[in-house]
Amino acid sequence: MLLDKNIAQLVLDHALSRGADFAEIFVEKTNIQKATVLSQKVHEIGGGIDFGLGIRMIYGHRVLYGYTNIPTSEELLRIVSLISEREKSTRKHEFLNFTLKPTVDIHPVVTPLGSDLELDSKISYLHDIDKAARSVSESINQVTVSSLEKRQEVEIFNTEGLQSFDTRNYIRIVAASIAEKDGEQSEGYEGPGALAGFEFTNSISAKDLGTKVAEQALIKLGAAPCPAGKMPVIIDNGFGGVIFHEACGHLLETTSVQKKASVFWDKMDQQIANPVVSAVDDGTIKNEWGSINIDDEGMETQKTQLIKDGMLTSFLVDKIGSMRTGFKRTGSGRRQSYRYAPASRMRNTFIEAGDSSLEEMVASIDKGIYCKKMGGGSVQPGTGEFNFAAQESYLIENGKITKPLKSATLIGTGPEVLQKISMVGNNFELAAGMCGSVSGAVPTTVGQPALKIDEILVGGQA
Amino acid sequence: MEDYRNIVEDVLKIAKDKGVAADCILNTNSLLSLKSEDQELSEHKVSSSLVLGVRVIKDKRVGTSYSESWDKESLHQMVDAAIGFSKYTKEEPLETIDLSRTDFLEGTIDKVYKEDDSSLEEKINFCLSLESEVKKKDSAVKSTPYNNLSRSESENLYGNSLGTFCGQKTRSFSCFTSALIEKNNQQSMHYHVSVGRKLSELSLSEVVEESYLHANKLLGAGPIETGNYDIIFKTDELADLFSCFSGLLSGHSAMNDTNPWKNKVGEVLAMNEFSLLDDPSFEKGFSYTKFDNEGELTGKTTLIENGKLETFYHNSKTSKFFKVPNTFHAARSARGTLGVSGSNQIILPGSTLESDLKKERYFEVVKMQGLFSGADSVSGNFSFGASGYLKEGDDIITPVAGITISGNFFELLKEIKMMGSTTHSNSSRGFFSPAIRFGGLKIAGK
Repeated sequence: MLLDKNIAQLVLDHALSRGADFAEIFVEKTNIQKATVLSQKVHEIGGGIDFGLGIRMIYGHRVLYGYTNIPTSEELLRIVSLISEREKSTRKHEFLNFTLKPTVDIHPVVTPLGSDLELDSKISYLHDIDKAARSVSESINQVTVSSLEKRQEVEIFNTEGLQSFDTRNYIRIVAASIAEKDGEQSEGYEGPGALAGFEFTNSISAKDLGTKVAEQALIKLGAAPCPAGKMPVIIDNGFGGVIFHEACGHLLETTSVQKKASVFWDKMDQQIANPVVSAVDDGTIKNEWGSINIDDEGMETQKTQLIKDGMLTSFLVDKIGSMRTGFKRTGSGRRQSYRYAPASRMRNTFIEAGDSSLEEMVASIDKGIYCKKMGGGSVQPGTGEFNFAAQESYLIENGKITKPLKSATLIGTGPEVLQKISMVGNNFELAAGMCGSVSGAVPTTVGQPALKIDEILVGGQA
Repeated sequence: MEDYRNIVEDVLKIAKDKGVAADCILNTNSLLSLKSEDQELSEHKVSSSLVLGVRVIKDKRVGTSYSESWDKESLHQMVDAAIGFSKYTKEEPLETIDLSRTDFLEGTIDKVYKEDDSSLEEKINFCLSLESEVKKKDSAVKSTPYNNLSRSESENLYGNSLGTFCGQKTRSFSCFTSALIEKNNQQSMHYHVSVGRKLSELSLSEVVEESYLHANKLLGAGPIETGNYDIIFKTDELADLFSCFSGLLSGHSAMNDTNPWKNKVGEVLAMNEFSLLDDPSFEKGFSYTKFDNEGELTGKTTLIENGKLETFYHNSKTSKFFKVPNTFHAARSARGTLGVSGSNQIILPGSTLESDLKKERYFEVVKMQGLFSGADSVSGNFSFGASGYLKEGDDIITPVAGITISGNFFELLKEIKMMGSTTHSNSSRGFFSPAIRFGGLKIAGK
């Protein structure tokens, strides 16, 4: 346990004595280790320990928040007094004794950070990726490979009597290559990750990963400029799901719904997408990058059906979102660290598989773009305007993929695109990413099968 | 500052006892953050944090580690971890700790650490005004979903095993608000930021006016015809564009073969009127710092002069690698390894009056979406969503949204048509530039 239960009780009772309706302590200890191979040598290796405590007090719908690195009762009482300095109300609630709520670990780990696995074998794996990438072509002139391991222990106490503890182990391998030919340079990138220990790398062949990032960089050398304008686009599986994440997922978080800053705030049980679209946010997928056992408010994670056959069926709801909108919590209260108050956030969010093949989709387009690999993007919640980068894309002419294209950006609005998805593929896949929002950057998975969007604005150079 | 110095000295002593050269960085931060919703304070956040990081050099190998705990046991663990990590890294004969100075270098100056003479009540009232003043502008303002007032106080200490010690405190305030306007089933949102060293230096009227002005003007904006347009970026947007490609000026990435400009020093890479400086000691800039993260005194550096790349940002290691003078831009956070970073970037004014620069039709970019994900710093290609106005002079021909701008940053610098003669600052006051008219960028719209 990270914090003495008696200190937690003292601090939370003090919060109630100052008139709070609810108070919570989030304690976090995170070990981090990062190793990077660059220019075929170990370039850097380091790590450390983050430790801190965040205190949240809720008055009605207002949130007061403070954090510190010092776990003493004096410091925590000081923080409570400081953040509630202006509050005039007196005690409304009595403290409930803590009941330890055991966490069911649905994401077992074999070799977490701190286990006996030698650093040498981890570095050897990174070198293997580097070698595989360089062996693809002499035009690959630089490769960077990193491993990032994190072991986050969290403990949550609140004035409703909750005491909960969980450990989350994360691993991510990031590989990038640069290809150069005739003065032109291009980059390839992959970043698989899991809620797991280093054993995750057993499922990621170093040779395949190295080859993939090298081929991505090479294919873009000499690629044709991407056409500009509105046209049909196929977004392939896996990281292609960033479109749903950005265009719709953020708009379904009560963080924006509760402020009516989402175009979907009043659309529950209404048709918001083409009937071929069903979408889910699922924290229970075993060892998946965006999975959790409990959220950062201590609630068990769950699978949440967001859209069914085009109908809006649920938002992503945290505690404050539930208080403000009346919808039930979905175990979606997440935060980067103790430095942030929790907010409703996505976990593993994806569009479910349909029955069209990629070949059928390509054959249905006279002129358009096939986006094989998507990059990042962003959305303006108030209006639903989004954009995202196509990292690897190809021209479709007369029902056939003809040539690779330079990078481009796709822009539109969430509600509009949801209606324009006309074909949903059968090649479902997930991909790891980091999502930044009001409660910091959290691991999230995006995913989908290939989707055909009948019309979207492509920002190209041709 | 004295207590924190003791912690750094403890770390250096532990390292010395273990026979390794070391330097240590200690960062503290305390933050007050307020948000308003429906004319009530919806968030009141206070925090205090401390993190320290050590870099050790043993047998020419470098190891780093950090900790957020500073009891003796944690400090020993941190130094041991760094020494342990160093065994796995390659030899770095150019990375050394060799700055020896006997006097403590005090980097705190009045201009960046002003007394906070405002009460909590005044701050809260200011925060509430960020919402109420926008709503007063127009009944069509549906909400101000994003608003914030914050005060940040930080202290940075650097010490090394040769006795060099320096420290600096800074205090800053920032605020922003937004206007979400809805009329005839159309929505538009814009936000604006203001920064200052005291609450009274923040401009409430500016953030309110700018947020409302652009949200209102862009309501009902749509795409323009696909084609090539001259473009002028607002200073905030120009700063963002340059920050996407900031790696091009990094001696660290050039040394690591990840900078496409690595062999271009001495070459003309921009229009001949384009000159770019970096000045950490520029007191009006919010990136002011008296020393870098190797403890060296900072100074002004000319990076590009009359279009020619003169040098990169360098630290002691990269300058030795390239056999060029150090520019004293060493950057290392407590959690990180040695690199380089820029500070206050200043593009020097050109010769064209702004009224002449804005003659004939151009597209003024006031908002960009997805810039960082749409920019490829290796190839220089970029493509991002944008909103703004098609203009002639200061007259708006039509508001524009739902378009993308595409191009190549390397070519963009050569396609500068005109440089304005008046310097502007971005909202966060770390980037200073005249208006620049870029020629013929591709816009995808109708």
